[in-house]
Amino acid sequence: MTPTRHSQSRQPMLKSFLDRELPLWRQLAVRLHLARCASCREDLRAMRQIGDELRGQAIDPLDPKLKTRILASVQEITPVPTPPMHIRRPVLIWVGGAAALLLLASVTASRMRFAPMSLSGSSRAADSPAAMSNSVSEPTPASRSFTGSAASEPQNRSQAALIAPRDAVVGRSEAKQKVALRRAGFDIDGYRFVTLSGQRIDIPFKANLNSLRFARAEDGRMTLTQAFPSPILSLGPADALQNDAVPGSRWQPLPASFSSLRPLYVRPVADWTQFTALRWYPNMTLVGGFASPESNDASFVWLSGSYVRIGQTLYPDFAAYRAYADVHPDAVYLRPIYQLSAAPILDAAKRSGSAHGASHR
Amino acid sequence: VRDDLRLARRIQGGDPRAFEEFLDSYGARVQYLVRRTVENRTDAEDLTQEIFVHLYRNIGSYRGDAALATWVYRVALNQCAKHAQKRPPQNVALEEQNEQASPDWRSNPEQAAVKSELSERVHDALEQLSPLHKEVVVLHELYGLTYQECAQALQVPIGTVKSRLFNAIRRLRDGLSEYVLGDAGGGVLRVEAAAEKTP
Repeated sequence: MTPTRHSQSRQPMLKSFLDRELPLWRQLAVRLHLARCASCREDLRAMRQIGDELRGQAIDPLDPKLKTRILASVQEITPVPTPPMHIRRPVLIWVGGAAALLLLASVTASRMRFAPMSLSGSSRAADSPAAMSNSVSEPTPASRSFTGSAASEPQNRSQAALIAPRDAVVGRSEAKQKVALRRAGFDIDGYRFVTLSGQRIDIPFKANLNSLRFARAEDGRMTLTQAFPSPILSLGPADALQNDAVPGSRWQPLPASFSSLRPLYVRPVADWTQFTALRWYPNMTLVGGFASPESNDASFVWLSGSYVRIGQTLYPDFAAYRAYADVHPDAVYLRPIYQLSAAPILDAAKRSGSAHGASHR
Repeated sequence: VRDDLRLARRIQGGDPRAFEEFLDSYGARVQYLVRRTVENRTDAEDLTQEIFVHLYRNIGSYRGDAALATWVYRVALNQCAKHAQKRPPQNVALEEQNEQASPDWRSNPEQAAVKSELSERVHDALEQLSPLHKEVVVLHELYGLTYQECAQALQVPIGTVKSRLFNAIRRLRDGLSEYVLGDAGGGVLRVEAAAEKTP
């Protein structure tokens, strides 16, 4: 058979065939094809030859001096203890209490959703994590005036739970943990979530905006799922994360038009440096941002449907928003609110204490 | 994986032999990965050291969900990526370029001396690949990771591994066509070229 360029379209499959990464039925199909296609046989031979040569590449042994240096450098280091895999559950006595609080919160919230706007309310209190804990949707007048403590963060330290991104990696042996959330927020150090049962879950950034992925929630409920390689925050069409460092501002990672259930890495801006320098304004909502299915910085692109809204004005792209920011120096930068980096990652008790301080700032 | 987990727990328990064993297993490969990313030899050594200190400190986070190698390479690649972000590409001093180009730089001069021309060309072609292509080729072809393991190490979907690998091999093949295809293969290229011209 005369070789033709048709083989180019088959090459990815040929490579998988060569690497024994095809299911059996496809292997058979490729074998049948190879029997009558000289071009593909040549391609396969070339790929095999390249593979053989690559595998024949000498890998230098570790430089002995470097090995000595490495061994010496770990002498005084103690490995971090293995973090627990599970989110700590409150004791049974709290379950009933939390359920009652939740019921009370939902009743209160549903009543207040239709309450008239309270302009006289304390904006500081209204913008605190506790104030917004009943909803992660649009900051309605009701939610701004909702300062009751019924749905506030857990009042008891035993209810607080912390997971670091590495804790969120689950193996085959462990079922994915999925928790429904009633609130999501962030500051300069990381994300803070409050579950329906009142548990607190912190996920620090550690200067890495890939500590979380985002997906559209199938059932419209905001949930956090432990997954590999990072937890997934599933969001309803209007769900947003409150910027607890800048009262009244929030980030809605997924535009309303976004419908993929497949998780994406999403960031308000392209990289960490820009994130720390991002200017926020009261009543600013950043919808979308930069997204990628992969975690490497170079692959992030402006997510379709993204925009910035400040007050009633819409800025359809980042350049337009930046033009606004350039002439409005009254911006507020992200700052630490949760004190995530102030305590060891697993020191839930101390963190819980600091969290209360933060929520009542 | 069970052995991997056992080794990890021994390291975590402070067994110095365990860490040396770990270093013997992965030192050369991590060093190789780093050298594919960092041209400056001193920087490459520093980064290799940083990676192993990081691995040692965080060995507790390895849970045995996947092969230890996958976890090691993932950490190493992340550290390489961070390093690349922090520092713009640096010019390598001429002396160091010469040193790197010289077979003497390799710790096994005999082996380097007998390297075939094709092998050297493969090495050069590998260096010409983009970082994304290079890392998937190193992980899969050199270190023998499966597609799934590559996907875990690179934190990308398995389809991305396939496409990157295929594109990388295609580029290698383009760069090595005169060597790889030989007499018979050269014929293929010529026939294809002729076929393109035929209306």
